Amino acid sequence: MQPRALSRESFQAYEPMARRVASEHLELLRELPLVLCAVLLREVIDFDLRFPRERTAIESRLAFLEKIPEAERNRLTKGFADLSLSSELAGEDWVRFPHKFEEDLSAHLWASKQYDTFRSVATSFAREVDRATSPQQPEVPRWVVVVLGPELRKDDYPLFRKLRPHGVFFPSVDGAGGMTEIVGELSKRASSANVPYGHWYVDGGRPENTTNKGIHRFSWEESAALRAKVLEKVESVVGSGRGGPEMLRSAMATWSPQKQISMTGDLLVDRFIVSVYGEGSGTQVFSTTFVQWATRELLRRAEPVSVVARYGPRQKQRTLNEMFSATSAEGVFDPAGSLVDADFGAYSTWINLNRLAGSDNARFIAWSQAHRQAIAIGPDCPRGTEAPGGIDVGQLLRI
Amino acid sequence: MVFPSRCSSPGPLVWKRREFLRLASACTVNSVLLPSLPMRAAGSIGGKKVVVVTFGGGARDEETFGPDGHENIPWLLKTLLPQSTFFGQVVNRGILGHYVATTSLATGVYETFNNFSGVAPPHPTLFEYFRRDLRRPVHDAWLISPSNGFRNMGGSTARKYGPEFGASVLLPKQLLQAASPGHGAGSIDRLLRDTYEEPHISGGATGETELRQIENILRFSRDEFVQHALSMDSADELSVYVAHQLMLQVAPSLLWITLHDIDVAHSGAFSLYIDGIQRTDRLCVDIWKNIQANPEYSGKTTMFVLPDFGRDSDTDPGGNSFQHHRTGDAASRTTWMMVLGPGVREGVFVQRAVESIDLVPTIGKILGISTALAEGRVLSEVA
Repeated sequence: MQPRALSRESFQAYEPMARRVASEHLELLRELPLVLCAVLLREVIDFDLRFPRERTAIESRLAFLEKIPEAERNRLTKGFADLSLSSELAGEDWVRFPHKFEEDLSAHLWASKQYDTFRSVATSFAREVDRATSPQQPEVPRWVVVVLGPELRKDDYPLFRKLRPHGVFFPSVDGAGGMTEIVGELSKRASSANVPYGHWYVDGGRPENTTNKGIHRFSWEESAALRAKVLEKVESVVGSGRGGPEMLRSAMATWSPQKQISMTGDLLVDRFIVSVYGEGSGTQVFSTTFVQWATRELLRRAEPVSVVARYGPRQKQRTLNEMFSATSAEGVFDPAGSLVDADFGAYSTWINLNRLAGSDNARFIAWSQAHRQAIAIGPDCPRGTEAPGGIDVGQLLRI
Repeated sequence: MVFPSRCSSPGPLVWKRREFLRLASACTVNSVLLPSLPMRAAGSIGGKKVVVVTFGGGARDEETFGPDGHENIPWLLKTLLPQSTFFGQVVNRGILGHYVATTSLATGVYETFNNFSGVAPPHPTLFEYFRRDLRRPVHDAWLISPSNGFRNMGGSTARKYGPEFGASVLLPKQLLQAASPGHGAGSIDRLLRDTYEEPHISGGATGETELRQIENILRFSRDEFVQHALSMDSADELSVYVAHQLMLQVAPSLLWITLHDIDVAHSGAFSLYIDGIQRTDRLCVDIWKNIQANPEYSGKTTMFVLPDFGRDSDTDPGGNSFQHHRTGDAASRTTWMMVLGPGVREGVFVQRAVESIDLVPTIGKILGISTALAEGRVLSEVA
C-alpha cells in the first residue's frame, strides 16, 4: 500500500486520539514518502498513551510539514523518497503495524547497505524540523538529582570523573537526612509548579514516602509483579527463536499484560513503566539499568522539570562457574558494580538533560551517599572546580 | 532503529578521534607514524602460523585506547602495544551485528545475511582459502566460537569451497554441556543462550561430537574438563583455556578465537562492560604468552587482535551509548587492530583508515594463499 491510498478508514484500528490526529493530517500523510509516513504513524499510533509533551511535539511536526510549501516539503523529505524498498516491505500493513514495519525496515536498510543514508537523511530531517518547530521551553528551570544509594560503594573509585569538568565537585558532603531533604525539595517544586507529568521520582530499590499528588513515583520494588510478567513474555519471545533484539523490541512495544497491573493509578505512567521493562534491554534484570533507562526515557519523552533518580544495589552477575553449578545469585548484590553503573548513569542522565530545551538554566546534582561526594552543575556552578570544606545536602540543593 | 527526535548534543563532550590517534601513538615505543610501507615479500606457509583474536563483542575507543580507557587495558598497552604494529582507524562499513560482522571479518566481504539466522556465509572464509590452496588437513584450521549460533561461520556455501574446506569448530560452552549432562538444571540453558544477539540454530550439538572433541582432541577426561571449567569466571576464559589446550595438542596453523564477554554491555550495566574489557585485555596477553611458550608457535606466529566493531557514542541522540551498536555512527563503526609477530615492525602506529575486511587478504598474503573473492585490500604495513 502506498500513502496515496490512505483514507480515514485506514485508521479504524487506532485508539480515539490517535485516530483523530491521523485523520486530521490525512492529506499530509498521503503526500509523504512511504518510509517517513510509516515512521510518523509509529509515533501517532501510540498517541493516546503518550505524555502531553510528546503529543505536542508530534502535532507540531505534522503541522509544520503541512504548512510549508509543497516544494519545500519535497526537498525536506526527498531523502526518504529515494530509499529503495523491497516489494515485501512496501506490501506490509505498515498503517496498522508500524512497529513491525520499522523492525523490518531496519533489517532491510542494513542488508541493502542503505542504513548510513537513512541515518543521514533522518538526522538532517529531524534537525530541520526541530529548528523550525522550536521545542517548548520548561515552565520552571529543570532540576535533576541523581542519588547513589548508601549500599553502593567501591573504595578508591574516582566518582563523577566524566562530570567534574562541567561543574563543582564536593568532596565532603554531610548526608544526614539528605534523602528527606531531596524528596522534600521535589515536593515543594511539585506544589509550586503545576506541570502535568512534570515531577518524577524513580527509585532502584524501596522508595521514600511521597504524598504530594504532583509527584509521579515508581520503583524497582513496587513494580516487581509487572517485572515478572515482562520477563515471562521476554523469555517466550526470545525462546521462539524468530529473531533478534529488534523483533523483541517491537513485540514488546505492542505488548501489555493480559491482566492489567496498576502500579500508580495513572494509565500513562503505568504504560510508561511497561515500556521501560519491555523495550529496555537489561531493565528487567538489573535495577541499575532500570533506573538509568527509565530516567533517560523520562527526560526524552515526558520532558519533566523535576526528576529524582536514586540507584539501589543491583543483583550480582553470575559467573560461568555459578551458572554451571546452578548456584543462585538472587538476593546477592554487587555494591561495587552498582556504584560504577550508577556513576555512568549519572553522566548519561546529564547528557540527556542537555538535549532538552532550557538546558542552559538546568540544575543537576549527583550525590553518593556512601562516598559522601557530590557534583553540582548549573548556570551558577563554575566548571571544573572543587569546593573546599564540607557541605550538607540542604546547602547543596540551595546552590 | 531509533528515529532521532532531538539533534542537539553537548559538543565539547564528543570524543575526538584525532586525540585518540595522538594518544595511542604516544603509547607506542617508537611512535613511528607510517602512511603505508611494504612489509615483506609474499612467501609460502613455511611453518608460519596465524592466530586471530576478536576482541569482542564490540568495544569503544573510549573504554580502550582513549585516555579514560587506558586503565582498562593495561596488558594491551604495556605488553602488546610496544611489540605491535597498531592500526588506529579500522572502519567496519558492514552490518553492525556480531555474527554477521565476525563472519565478514572471516570472509573479507561485508556479508548481508540476517544477523540472527546463524547461516553459513555465501563467500569463502579464510579457513577455506587456507585449506584449499595449501591442501591443509582438516585439523590445521580451527575456529573457537562463543556459542552455538556462531558454529556455521567456519565454512561457506560458495562453489568450489564449502564446509569440506572449512575450519574445525570448537564450541567451549557446548563441550561443557556435553561433559556434564544434568548439571546446572535450568541455568545451563540460560548459559547456552546468554548472548543478547544470539543467532538461533536448531539442532547442532548432539553431545557425541563434543565428547569426542574433549577426549580425542583436547585430551581431557570429562571430569578433568569439568573441573577446569568450574574454576573459570566467564565463557571467554573457557574459550582461551580450550584454545591453549588445542595449541598444545593439535597446534593448528590457523586459529581463530572469537571472544564475546564484552557483549554483556547490552544488559546496560556499565561495570560489567568494563569488567569484560579488562578480562579480554588479560586474556589477549595470556594467548600471546601461550604462543611464546609453545615451541610449535614461538617465533613463527602472527597474531591479529581486533574488535569486530565499536559501540554507539554517548552523545548520539539516536543511540544508546555503550549499551548497543545500532546507530552506525563513527564510534560504532571505527575501531583498531593490533598485529604482532615475526617480521612485524614493533612500535609502529598506522594512522591511515583501513577496513575490517582487509584482514583476510592481509593474512592471505602472509600465508601465501589467494583470497580472490575477498573484497578487502592487503595491509602492506604488515604483509
